[in-house]
Amino acid sequence: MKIDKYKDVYSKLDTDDSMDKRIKDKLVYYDSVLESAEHKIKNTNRKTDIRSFFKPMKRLSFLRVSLPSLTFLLFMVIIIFSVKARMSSDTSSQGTTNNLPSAYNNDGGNSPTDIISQLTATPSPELTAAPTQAPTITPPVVTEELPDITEAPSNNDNVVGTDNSEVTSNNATSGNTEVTPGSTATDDGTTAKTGDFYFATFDSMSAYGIVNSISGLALRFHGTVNKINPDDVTDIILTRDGNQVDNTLSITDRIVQRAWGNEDITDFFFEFNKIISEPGLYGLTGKYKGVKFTASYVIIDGPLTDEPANPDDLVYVGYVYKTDPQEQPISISEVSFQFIGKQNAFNQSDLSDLKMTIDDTEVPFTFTYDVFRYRDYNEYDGRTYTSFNLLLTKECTKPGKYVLTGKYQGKSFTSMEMTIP
Amino acid sequence: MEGNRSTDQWVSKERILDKYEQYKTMLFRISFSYLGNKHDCEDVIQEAFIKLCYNAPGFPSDEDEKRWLIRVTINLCKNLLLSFWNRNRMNIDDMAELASEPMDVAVMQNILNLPSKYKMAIYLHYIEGYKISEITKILRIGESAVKMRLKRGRELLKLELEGEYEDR
Repeated sequence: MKIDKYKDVYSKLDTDDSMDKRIKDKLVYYDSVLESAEHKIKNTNRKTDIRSFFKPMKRLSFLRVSLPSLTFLLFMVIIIFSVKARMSSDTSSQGTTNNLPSAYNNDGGNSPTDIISQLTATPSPELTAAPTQAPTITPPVVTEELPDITEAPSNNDNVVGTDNSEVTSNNATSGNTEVTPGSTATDDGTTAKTGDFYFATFDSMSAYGIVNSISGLALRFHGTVNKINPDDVTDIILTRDGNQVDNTLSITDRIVQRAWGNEDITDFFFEFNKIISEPGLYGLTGKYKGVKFTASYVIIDGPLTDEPANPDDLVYVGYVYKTDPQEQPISISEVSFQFIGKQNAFNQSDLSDLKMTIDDTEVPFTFTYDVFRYRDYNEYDGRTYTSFNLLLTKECTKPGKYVLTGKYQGKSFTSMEMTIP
Repeated sequence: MEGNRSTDQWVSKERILDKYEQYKTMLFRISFSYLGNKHDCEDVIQEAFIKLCYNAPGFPSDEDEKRWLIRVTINLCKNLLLSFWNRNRMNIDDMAELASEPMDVAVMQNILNLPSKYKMAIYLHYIEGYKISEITKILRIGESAVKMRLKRGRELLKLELEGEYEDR
């Protein structure tokens, strides 16, 4: 292949107008959501920052500041009105009644901006001074108590939809206009039909890799699906720390049809009537066509501090690895340090005496600079966990039994054994 | 503001939108090389600019800012690919939409199949025009490693060049 051909192919790769608009709207909307939620984000209290930059203005300086601000306000007004106009023409042409109250009929002026779920935590890496030595101890007995949210309240004030009309989404990906009947191979090896309900997950937004607000719900279906009947989604119960939270769900125009693992899937997005930002453990149950589903839990932690994870809470050291189609591990890419409860930070400098062995033979390795933070809720023991993942600079692919030992803040640990056949 | 930011470097909404226009194509090409579908590229690009808006260090120059964005985008793509919840493959419909000729689709598939360490060296050198010495700063590897990745990447892509790469 000539290099010119390679360059020519790349020259055809570019964003499109709709993607540009979504991302730009998102950047602007995201900023306004954070400000309205009055989040104190680490190192960036925007209100404080803005004031700290606000120097005494001369007339000329004031003009330089105010003109861009006016331009931006005008830009926002144009975006909002153009989108509203578009939504009005789309609604009037449908000739149907939304079973769920449509987000676009909300007189509260909600922006129909696309909402992209973002659950991966990617905070900035932290480095502090090396810790002092401490005696080796085993992880303590867990004493953290959490509200019992395994049983949802029976009272249900959030039943959505009373009509039986059907809503057609207008945002189907081009080229996918038909629902293909038949079976699809699923990620977990079972067989599901196109249009079968898959699972539900919160649609959330994050900053610094920390989930700080939830805007709605995404319902995933097997295969390529163009439309669902919102009437089929009922008995929605949203909880925070086990207590029901008053909120209603509205279907949006947004659907995403794509490949996921070894199958095609379709996501339909719903919006809450107000953004959720209060810290807590959020759960949601509902029914689709009478069958109960539970959304994956989401934890909103609120602002984090620099305080490193408590070594007494370290319960597990494991790995992230890739597998082949037969689910056999083929490479190890990350080491995961899992702690009980909410932990704020993890410093690589708190690790010492690290030693990785393959079949008991020590091998050299290094981590990259990054630390990735994850929060999980374990429904079986009712506890939350915080994991900090470190990326191996070079993935491990050599067959053998892998074990990592070392100390975190002076306390010894031994990872689980990981075997690459 | 804490950290290295100065008044001039605080990223306002207006500036972030300008920077989006400036870097969007580059970030899309980088992320598509890894992810192969537009939806994930959109997620990655958005996250990269959010990081630029709220989490970026102070940059001595625009070129440093560009290099930072490239690194962040690469890391986001790798993180997405490694994520337990997301094991995407190339969406042939996206590729067909972006490049109408079957040959283009075949070339893109070859690029996507290329190991990530080679594809970025090739992309940064031949598409973005970075010198080898500059690529070392972006990928944080030595010059010999960059040269080796360029050599291996070309071999795997069967790229025919007029002459050897130059550290122009």
